[in-house]
Amino acid sequence: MYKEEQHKTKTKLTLPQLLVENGTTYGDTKTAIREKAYGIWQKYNWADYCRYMRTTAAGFASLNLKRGENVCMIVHNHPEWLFSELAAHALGATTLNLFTSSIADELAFSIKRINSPIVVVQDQEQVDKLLEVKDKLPQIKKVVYIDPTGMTSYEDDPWLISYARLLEEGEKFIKDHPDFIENEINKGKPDDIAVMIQTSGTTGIPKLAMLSHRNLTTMAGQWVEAINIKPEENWLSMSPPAWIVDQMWGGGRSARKCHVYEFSGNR
Amino acid sequence: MKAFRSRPSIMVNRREEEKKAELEIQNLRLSFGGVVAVKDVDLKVHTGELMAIIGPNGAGKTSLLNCITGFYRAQQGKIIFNGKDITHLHTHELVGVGIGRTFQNIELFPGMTVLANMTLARHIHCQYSFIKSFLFSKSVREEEIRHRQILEEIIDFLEMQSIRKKTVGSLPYGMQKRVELGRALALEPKLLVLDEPFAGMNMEEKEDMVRFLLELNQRWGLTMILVEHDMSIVMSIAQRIMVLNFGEKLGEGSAEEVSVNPEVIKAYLGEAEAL
Repeated sequence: MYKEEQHKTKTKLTLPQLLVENGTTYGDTKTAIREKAYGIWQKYNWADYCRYMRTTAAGFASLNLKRGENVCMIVHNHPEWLFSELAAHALGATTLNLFTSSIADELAFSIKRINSPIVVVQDQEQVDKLLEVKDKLPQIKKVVYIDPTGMTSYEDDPWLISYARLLEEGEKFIKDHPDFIENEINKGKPDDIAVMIQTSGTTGIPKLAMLSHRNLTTMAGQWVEAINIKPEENWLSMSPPAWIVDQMWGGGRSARKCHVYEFSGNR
Repeated sequence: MKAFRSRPSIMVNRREEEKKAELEIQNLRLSFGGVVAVKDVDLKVHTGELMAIIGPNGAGKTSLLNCITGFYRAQQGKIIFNGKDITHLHTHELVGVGIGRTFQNIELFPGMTVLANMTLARHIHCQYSFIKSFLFSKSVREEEIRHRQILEEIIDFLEMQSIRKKTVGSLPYGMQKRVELGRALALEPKLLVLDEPFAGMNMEEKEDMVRFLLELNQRWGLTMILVEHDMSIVMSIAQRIMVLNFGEKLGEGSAEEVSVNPEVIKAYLGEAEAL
């Protein structure tokens, strides 16, 4: 049945605050994310999930990401997507996901429009596209790439940083500023804008729909009640992060209830 | 962060002495009846080098590789690897010394899966006894898991995740070549001998292969001897090139030196006849 009271307390929190709450409640006892790697399912529990979000957030903070700024993401369905997205939210930044199949000029337009200082990309393919339009995007301070495959010859480029390096920088930042991330997470308000989603753009340039934390957590709450989803059920993430579907289910619902998020990929 | 490491531990964790691969060939001669396939060849390969052997068809390149890897027996001369005379060692003993190879015509087990083919290469690194393997005790299980982990890291490095359980015979040619490289890497060789790794591949497959070989050589310091016909690849990746013709060594040096060597040009392009 619809639990009005519980619903209200949950929608008072931002997504990172919900994740921290889950991290404390479930810790290492329950699985949050599963990812197929090296031929088997690898697990992340809620404490891992929380730790990765904090470290990534600290990495972004070391790159000087400020509250109210925007982070652009051009990624596939992998745990690093959730970590970076929630990390940006933790610092009070808004995220915009773009399609990995977009051409360089489309990406340049979308990134320029939101003036994003940090772009998180999946792999060499996306890095190459951004390098192609680099001179149109002077506001980008750093491009974070997740998959290091084939990136050996790019390692000296100061414009780029690997996700693994970002985590190292994050760990250093946490050592120097132990309370910073926690304070930033607590500063978040449920009506802050969490994500922006591009409309399909069939009748012109895509518009940006702005969704707050409360939008996402409410939507998640309705879904959980409407189709009676129980804790520890699985969601296989397949639709592109640039769509609302996985944003709603990944960010909102998995943080809202103890559900397992699965990434099968091709690994 | 559990995927995307692309750093195979057998490459990352190699100690300096495990990287050492000093090969010296002295005065090597191989003949089949009256045909002299390799004629008094001298060659030195140092640790960390990517050495290419080129030459026209029938120059004796593969014969030379077969001598190094023990498939042919040279009648004269010596092959010394890391100070040890390996001229008369058998192929299976040479694998133990640290020489791995791939073949021009793929020599995999076509009816077995990619994983099974690669697992075979871990045989020389198995520590457990024959009896223990029957009982499948805890130590055997743990060791098997470790071997699988090493193979999975190689599969990840060579981007073969989607084919790990496919039968080798059903794979396209370029992929089979990649599986063969994977099997050679699973041996944890000090010296990798590659016989035409780019043959029969399309441009994209060639570029992938170049990327793998360069990463292995430049990043992880794996010593390689490469026989190849695609000159654009050889000239751009090899640090040193040796040219063979009719079993004889025509020249040796960097890509620039070899490409202006008149003997080499003559062997490849022929000579102008006086009219």
